[in-house]
Amino acid sequence: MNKKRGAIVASAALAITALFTSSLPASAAAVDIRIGTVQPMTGAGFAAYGTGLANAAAFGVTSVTTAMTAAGVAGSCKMIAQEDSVSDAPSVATEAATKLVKSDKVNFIVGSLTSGASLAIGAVTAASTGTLAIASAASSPALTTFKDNDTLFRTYPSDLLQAQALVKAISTAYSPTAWVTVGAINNSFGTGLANAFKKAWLAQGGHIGGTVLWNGGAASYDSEAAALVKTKRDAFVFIDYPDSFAKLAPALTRTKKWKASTTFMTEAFNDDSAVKTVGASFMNGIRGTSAKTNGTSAAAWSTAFKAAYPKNPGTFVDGSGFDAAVLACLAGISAGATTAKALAKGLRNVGGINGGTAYAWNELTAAVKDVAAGKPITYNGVWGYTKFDKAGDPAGGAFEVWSIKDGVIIHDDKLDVKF
Amino acid sequence: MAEFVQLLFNGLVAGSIFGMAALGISLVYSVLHLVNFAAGDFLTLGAFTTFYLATSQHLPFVLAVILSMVIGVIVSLILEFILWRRLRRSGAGMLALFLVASGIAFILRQSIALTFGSDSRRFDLDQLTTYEFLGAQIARAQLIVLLCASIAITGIALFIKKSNIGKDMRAYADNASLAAVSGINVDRVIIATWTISGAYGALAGVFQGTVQGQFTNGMGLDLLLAILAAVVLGTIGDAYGALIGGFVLGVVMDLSTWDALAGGIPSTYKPVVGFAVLVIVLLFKPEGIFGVRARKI
Repeated sequence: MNKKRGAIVASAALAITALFTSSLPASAAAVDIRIGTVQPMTGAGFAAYGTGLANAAAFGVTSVTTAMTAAGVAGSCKMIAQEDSVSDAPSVATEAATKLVKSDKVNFIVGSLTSGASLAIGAVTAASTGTLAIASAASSPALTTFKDNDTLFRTYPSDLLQAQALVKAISTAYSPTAWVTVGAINNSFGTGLANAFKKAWLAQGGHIGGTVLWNGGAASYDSEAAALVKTKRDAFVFIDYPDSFAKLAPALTRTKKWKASTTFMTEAFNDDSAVKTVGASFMNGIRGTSAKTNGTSAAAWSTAFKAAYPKNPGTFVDGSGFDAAVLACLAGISAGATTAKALAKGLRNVGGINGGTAYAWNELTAAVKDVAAGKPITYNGVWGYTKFDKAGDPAGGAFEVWSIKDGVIIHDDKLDVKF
Repeated sequence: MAEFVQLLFNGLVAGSIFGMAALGISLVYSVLHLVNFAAGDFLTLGAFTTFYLATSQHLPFVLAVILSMVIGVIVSLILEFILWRRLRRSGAGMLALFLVASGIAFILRQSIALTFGSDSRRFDLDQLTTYEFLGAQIARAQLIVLLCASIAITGIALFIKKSNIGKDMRAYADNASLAAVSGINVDRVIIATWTISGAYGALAGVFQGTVQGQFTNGMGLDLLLAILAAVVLGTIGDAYGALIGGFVLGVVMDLSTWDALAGGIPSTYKPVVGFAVLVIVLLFKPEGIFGVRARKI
């Protein structure tokens, strides 16, 4: 008799609960999200960028955790491990990503800095069952077409957009029909951006004087320099990293046919450490384009980040690492599950492609509440909106033009380009 | 003409560095039958210690280079006494020695990174002064490297040919058992071999750092394949062959980009050309250019 009465009471309670909850948005189940980073925290040319991105990701995880506590949302988001990809060698990145997936069982890998290492990480996550990667500064178009089973995302805009920014900068400095010689490091980043630029430059009526590629670990760069300076050109576009350009720049100077003031470069040189690596005497006069923050309250974020990580080297791209980690945590809350498919859906649900209220980096408590309640949101991060498309790329981006004078990088906001 | 002269000069500079590094590998192989895969990292060690002594300790550059060569020798001899000698006595085979050498290379590279950091370095030397010669721009730093390397190469060639220890080394490489029973001090031969290998490896690293303008702790690893190719091209175990092999490889790789040769190949394929030449030579002379004189130093 008591058992029968108990069953009736339980059934009634379930029915009332079901009736009550059906009038509310479906809320996500609490999950524990595990995050790891793969960034080049040591190694020539990349350590400042990688360390900054890793610290920013840790700061992002802490920020969401604080917001979850304030919002009373169950579950957790934890930074499990931070791996060093040492100069971002793809083989080291593969090893680090495999460790994070197999041993640490992370749900998200934030990283890496370069396209080659990010593609290597993407190959690992594509073969996993519950891990996604969010590349925080990889820009190669190769990431867009990479077969990653919808596990490789990025917060940094594709070089297809940067190519357009370079075209605009060179057109403004010279003319839309100028002759340009393109030099690039022979990897996915270099060849990807070089091809994208050449296509865009030719499409708007410009001329290409020649293309020269070089290997990163070459014994000498004199023949490359000779090949570059014998081309017909008004300007050069060099797509490279600081440690290899530091070897090419003296070789170019020795030809006596190269002027830094005719040279345009990309974001890898938009940092004091890059100027130091190459040498200010070689860099003075060089101009370049670089993706820049497009988000809200970026200056306030920099202050907060600096306070939390006073020893952080600080580069222009730090905010992208923060956004990647925040998006990962929010995606986990949104998904309420830890399968790769659910997490990918969660990323798009918080990235803004499905609409929803926009929240800045300093409005995470309200953002977490909405996400936990099952609502889509638009996280307008430090770096900007992501609005991940089908390929996991951000829908737009902002670019600036920088130049180097007396060893100091000068930014000119008037030449900014937004897509 | 100007382009040819430029490329030939660039090739000779690169070749002299390959040759100096290859010499050590070839000597060690001829005497000890060990392919020293750690040789590339001795180049890195030489460049980093020179940088430390010249830049951080403000020693005169030439003194810093000499001390770096001494350090290269000391590290080589330490490895001989605590590792290679024991392995030889325990009868370790070629595969075991190969694996140990690879491990040493890794340990050395990481030790350099831990000691000196992983940032790139640059010698405080003038790399921009050039002289015009037949239309080509000959950099003073490269010219100095080529001259110094030529002196070092000639010096070691004469040393091996004329000195008593050089003759002992040649005898030991020719027939180790016969050399031992005929009274040659085997330990002295082995120590001399490691001394030359360590000193010349460090010197080659300084030259490479000077020519490149900037170097990282991966410098030696980047060069290792080209150095090994020079060793094989010049006949493994033949010291003179290694020197010639280095020059041939350096010149062929740079001249392959010459416009006059059907437009030249893209410079990214220079290593491919180098190895293609190696394969072609080995097809016709399986023991390398100096195959007939194999294992005679």
